[in-house]
Amino acid sequence: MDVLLTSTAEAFRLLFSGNPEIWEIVGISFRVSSMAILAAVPPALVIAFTLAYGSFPGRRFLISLFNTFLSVPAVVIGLTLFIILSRQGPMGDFKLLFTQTAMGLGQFFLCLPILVCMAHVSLQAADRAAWETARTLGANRLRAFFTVLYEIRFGLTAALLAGYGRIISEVGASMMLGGNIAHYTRNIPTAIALETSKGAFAEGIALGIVLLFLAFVLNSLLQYVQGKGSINP
Amino acid sequence: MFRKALLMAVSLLVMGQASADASLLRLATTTSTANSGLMDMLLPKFTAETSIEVHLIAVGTGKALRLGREGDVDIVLVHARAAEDAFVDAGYGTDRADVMYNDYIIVGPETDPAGTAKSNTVAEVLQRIHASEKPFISRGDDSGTHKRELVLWQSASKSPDGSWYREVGQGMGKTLQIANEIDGYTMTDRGTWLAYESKLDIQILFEGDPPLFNPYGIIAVNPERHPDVNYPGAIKLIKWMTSPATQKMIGEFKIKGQQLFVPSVGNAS
Amino acid sequence: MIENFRIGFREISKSFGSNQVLEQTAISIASHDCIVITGNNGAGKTTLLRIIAGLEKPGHCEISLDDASPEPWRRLRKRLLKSVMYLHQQPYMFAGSLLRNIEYAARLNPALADRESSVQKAVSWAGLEGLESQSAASLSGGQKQRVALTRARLCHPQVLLLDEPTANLDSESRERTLQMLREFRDSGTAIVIVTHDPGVFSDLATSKLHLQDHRIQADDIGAADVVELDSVRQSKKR
Repeated sequence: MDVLLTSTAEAFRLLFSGNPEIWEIVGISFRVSSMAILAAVPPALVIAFTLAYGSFPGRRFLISLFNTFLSVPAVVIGLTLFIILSRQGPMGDFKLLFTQTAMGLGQFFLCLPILVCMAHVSLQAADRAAWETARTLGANRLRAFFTVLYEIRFGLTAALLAGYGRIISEVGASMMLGGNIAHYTRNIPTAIALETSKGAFAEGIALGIVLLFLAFVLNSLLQYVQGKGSINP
Repeated sequence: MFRKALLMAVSLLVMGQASADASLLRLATTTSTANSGLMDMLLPKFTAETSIEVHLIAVGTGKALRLGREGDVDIVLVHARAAEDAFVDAGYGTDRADVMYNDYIIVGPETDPAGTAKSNTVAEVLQRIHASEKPFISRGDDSGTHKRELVLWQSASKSPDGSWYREVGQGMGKTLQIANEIDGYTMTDRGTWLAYESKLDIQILFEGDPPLFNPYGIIAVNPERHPDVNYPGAIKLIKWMTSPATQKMIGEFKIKGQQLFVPSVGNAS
Repeated sequence: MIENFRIGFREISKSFGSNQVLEQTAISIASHDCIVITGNNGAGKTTLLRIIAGLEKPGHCEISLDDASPEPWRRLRKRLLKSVMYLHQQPYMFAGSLLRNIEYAARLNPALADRESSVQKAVSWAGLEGLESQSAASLSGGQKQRVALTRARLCHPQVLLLDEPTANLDSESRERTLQMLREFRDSGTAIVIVTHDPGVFSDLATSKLHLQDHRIQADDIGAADVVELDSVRQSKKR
C-alpha cells in the first residue's frame, strides 16, 4: 500500500518537476506510436473497405484471419519481425533492428488488425446507401470512400483509440525490436519493465501513472472532438 | 481540426531518427549489468571523449551472445566465461578482454532451515540445500546466472531435481521476489540483490567463495564475419574500458555505499 | 435542357445465388421518357434500377448508346454512374446539415457555373428555404425526398431512377414530388419509376411496364419486346 502511495506522489513529481528524462521517454512513446498508427490507418481503411463492400472469393476467410490476428500475442509479432530484421534475416541489410523504425514496424502490425476489424464493423453497420448515393451523385471511388469514412467517423475514432491504446502500452514487441536503448528506443512500457527489473517499483508505477494520465488526456481530447460532432448527428 | 492534427502528426514523424554509422556503437550486455547503473555512469564519459554514441541493449547473456553472433550488435559485455570462450573460439568474437568482476551470493530465509550458513564452500551450501529439500528457486532462463548455478550444482556433485527445485524462467529481480514469498533459497548477483534488498525479508547466507566470482568480459564482434560492424569503435571501447582511469571509476562505483564491481586489470583474481 | 439521347439495355440477366431475378430482358430509355414499372414484391424491380444506375453488377447486360453498337455493361459502368441517378426508397442523408447535403451534390458537378447561386436556386426550387442549417437526419420523409431531388437537379442526370418515391408520403408531399418530376421530364431527363401505385403517376407516365417472370412486359399491349414500344410512347408525348 505504501508503495502505491509513494509511487503516485512520485509520478506527479516526475511529471511536473520538468524532469527531461521522463518527457523524453514520453516523447519517444508517442512519436513512435503515432508514426505506427499513422502508417497503419490508410492500408487498414482500404482493407476494411474492401472487406465490407467488396465481393471476391476468400472474403470471409480474410475477415476471420484479421479477427484471429487480434489475439496474436505482441511478442510473437515481435519475434517474427526480429527474425526478419536481424542482420541474418531477409531484411537484415536495412539495419533496422534496435531502431525506432523497428519498434514502429512492430506497432504497425499490432494495430493494423484492430483498425481493420473495427473499421470493418463500422462500415458494415453503416448504411450501404451512403456509398451508393455518393457514387450515383457522380463521386469517384476515392471521393465516395472519404464520404463514407466521414459518415462513420465516430466508429473510426473508436478504432483509432483502441489501436493506439494497444500499441502505446505494448512492451513485448517494443522491447524485442527496439532494445530499450536509453534516449532512443526507451518508451514508457519498456522503461516500466526496466524499472521493475531494477527493483525500482515506485518509478515503474510512476511511469505507469504517467501513461494512464496521458492516455486520459488524449481520450478526453478525442471525446471533446466527438462531442462537438454529435450536436448534428 | 483534422488537418491540423495531421500536420502535427507528420511533423512528429520527421523528427530525429539516429542513423547507423561509425559514430554509433551497439553494445549488448546483460540485464543485470545494465540495471546496476554502472554503464549509465561510464558510457556518457566514453561518448564525450570519443564522440561515439553507444546504444546499450540489455538482454540475457545467451541473447547478447546471439546478437553478436548474428552481427546485430558491434560488441558484447557479458559474464559467462565458458560461453564467452566458445564464442571467441567459434570465430564470432575477437579481442576479448577482462573488464571487472562481481560476485554471486546465496540468499535465503533468515531461519536458514537447511543450515547453509555453517558451510565453508558453496558446494557444501548446495549439498545442504539438496539434502534438506528446502525450496531453491532457479532462474531457469539460460541466463549467465542460471548457467553459473548449474555449473555450481555440477561441482557439488548434486543434480537439482525434485519438487523443491523450482525453475521460474524469470529475471533475477522476479526470482528474488519469488524466493522471498515462499521462503526459498536462491543464488543472485550482488547488484540485483542490493537493488532489491530493502524490499525483501530473505538474507545473505553465504558469500566470498571464489567459485562465486563472476568475471565480466568484453568482446568485439568479429569483423571478418560481419564486415559492416563498427569494429574500430568496438576496439576503442575495449581499450577505454580497460584503461586505468576507467578501471578506477569501476572500482569506485557504489550502490547504497557498497562497492559492486572489482576492476580486473591489475587485480588478478 | 438535356440533349436527346437513347440508351438501350439488352439481355439483362441477374441472379443472386441460385435465385434468378432477371432473365434476358430489355429496356430502352430516351430523353423525355417517363417509364413506370410495376411488379410483385421480389420481381426484381429494384435490381433492375440498380443495374441501370451502374450500382449493381448484372450477370449479363449489353448497352447501346444512341443506337451505337452494343457494349458490355462493365465498360459503360462509369458512364452510367455519371449520367444515371438512382434515388433510394429512403433517400440517404449525409451527416450534417441540409445545406451540406445539397452542396455535396453541387460540388460534384463541375459544369455548374456559379455554385453558390445554383445551390440557392435549387433550394428555393424545392421549397426548402429556411431549413438550410437543419440537420438532414431530422427532416421529415417528404423533406428528405425533396433534398434528394434537389441533389439530383444539381447533377443534371440524363436518367433519373426512383424506387417507390411516393410510398411513405402524405398527399401534399406526393403532389410536390410529382410537380418536381414533371419539371425534370420537361427538361429532357428520362424518368424511370418503380412503384406499387402506378395510378399516382398516370398523368406523368409515357409508358407503363410490368415486371413478371424475370422479364419486362409492356403493360398495355403485352408485347415482350420493349424496344417496339416507341409508337405507344410517341402518342402519349405532348
